[in-house]
Amino acid sequence: MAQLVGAAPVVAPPRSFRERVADGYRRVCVDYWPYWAATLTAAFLNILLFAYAGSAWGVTTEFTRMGGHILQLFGVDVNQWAYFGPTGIGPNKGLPWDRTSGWLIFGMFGGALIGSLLSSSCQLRVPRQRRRLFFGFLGGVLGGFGARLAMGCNLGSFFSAIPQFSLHGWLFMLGLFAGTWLGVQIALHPWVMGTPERRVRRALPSTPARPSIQPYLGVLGIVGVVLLLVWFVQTGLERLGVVMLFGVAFGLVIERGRICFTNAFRELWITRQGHLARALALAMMLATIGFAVQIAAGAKPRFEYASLGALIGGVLFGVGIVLAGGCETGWMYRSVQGYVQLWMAGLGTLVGTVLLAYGWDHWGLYDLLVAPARPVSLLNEFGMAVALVLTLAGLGAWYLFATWWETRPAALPRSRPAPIRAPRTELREPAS
Amino acid sequence: MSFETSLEAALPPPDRVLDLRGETCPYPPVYTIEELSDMAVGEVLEVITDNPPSIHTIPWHAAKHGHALLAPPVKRGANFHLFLRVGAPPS
Repeated sequence: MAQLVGAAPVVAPPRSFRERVADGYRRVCVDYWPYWAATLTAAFLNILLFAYAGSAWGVTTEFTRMGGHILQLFGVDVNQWAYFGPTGIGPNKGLPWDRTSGWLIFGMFGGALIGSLLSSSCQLRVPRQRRRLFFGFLGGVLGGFGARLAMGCNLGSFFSAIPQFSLHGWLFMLGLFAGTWLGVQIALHPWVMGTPERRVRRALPSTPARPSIQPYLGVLGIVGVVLLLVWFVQTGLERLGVVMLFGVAFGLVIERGRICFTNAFRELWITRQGHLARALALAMMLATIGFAVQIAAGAKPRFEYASLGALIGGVLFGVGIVLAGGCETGWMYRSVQGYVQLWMAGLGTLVGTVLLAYGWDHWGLYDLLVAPARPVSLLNEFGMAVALVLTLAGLGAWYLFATWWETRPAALPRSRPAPIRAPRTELREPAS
Repeated sequence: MSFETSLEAALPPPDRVLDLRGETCPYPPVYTIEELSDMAVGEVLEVITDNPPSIHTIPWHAAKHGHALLAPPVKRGANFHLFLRVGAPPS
């Protein structure tokens, strides 16, 4: 005979429509999405973008072009550079707002800003230690330089590359493991980490939180996006408008899900947390299947030089993003929230990409690191079936590795010279 | 991850407050563990951070070192308040 165990289930009383709307808003726009929900959404959007535009999610190619435009303003003829001229990504083809790749980036910034405003997360964040700004910039330079040496950042050389069966994505990933480990050793060195001055402070006054105007500005931002889309369609530029919408969606997803690829690798070496790594592995498996279906139907995948440059670029990128405090997605969504350190990282990224573009021929980087290799696609080497199995197995192995790694005991706080602490202020006010 | 939006939750008054606003990854969990390691078992530390990924990494890192998050993170504006109780280090 069936028996009820424990208390009878509580039936929630029907709530008002208003309450339900408020609850839904909170769930979607204030609470952070689980990592897997955000990464799977990003992978799905990436599949759709590949179907629509013929190219997958990536940003640093456009950052390099933007850097080229800025140099042009100063009278530098960048079209003479090998990287900009014959490779055909030069800034001679219109300006960022004439290109889909430009609108993808504008859209991402806009979407991340809308998401941040809806959750009242914008606030000017000035690091207390000025050295953070320097290392943010330096990390950005290393990241931008490494990304372009590898033909893409964590998006173009990783999140979009592995699912397109390009071998360079796997080399970049290997480099990321090594680079983020190295980056952690540098970032946690006392000279870089600094003396944590003024860390312990009096408790904030517990005044009731005032309602913020930020959500209203967020709604205004959504209206702005819709108006812009209408304008694009009216002027016959709906392609730019649609790609902008993709950008807005990507921006929202990375902000709502706090998707920073740095986290997925760096935390292996600090907190041994693999949540985001596993979510990314799952998402890239979905993208792999989505891309494979389209490739089978005739779409052309992008594959790049499986060169030493991809590996070294991955290492440099890994070091850079740990120092900077965020990868391309990580700094993009947090810079619009007011992170001064990540503004420096963004500026550094532009400088780094342009440095690489200059060194491509002027320092012989192409001849040394890239030219000896050739673009390798797992599809051309092994055929679709084997390539699919290999890619999914590799991502599955990453998933299992992250799961196993999490079960290992915590790394103890590393011994370092005792920090010179500022005298602590007493927390509690004397009774008055 | 969901969180409280008010501080009215019945939480013990913290013994220390660690204000990490302005710090970005990877420092918030590292500083938090250092501070917790410097406190007596049973004491409560309030960590204030405005770095969104940290509300995920700090409780995880603290738990790995034997400390406990007392309540879901409290969100006030762009800042998060985390209340952690110092535990015995894992043997």
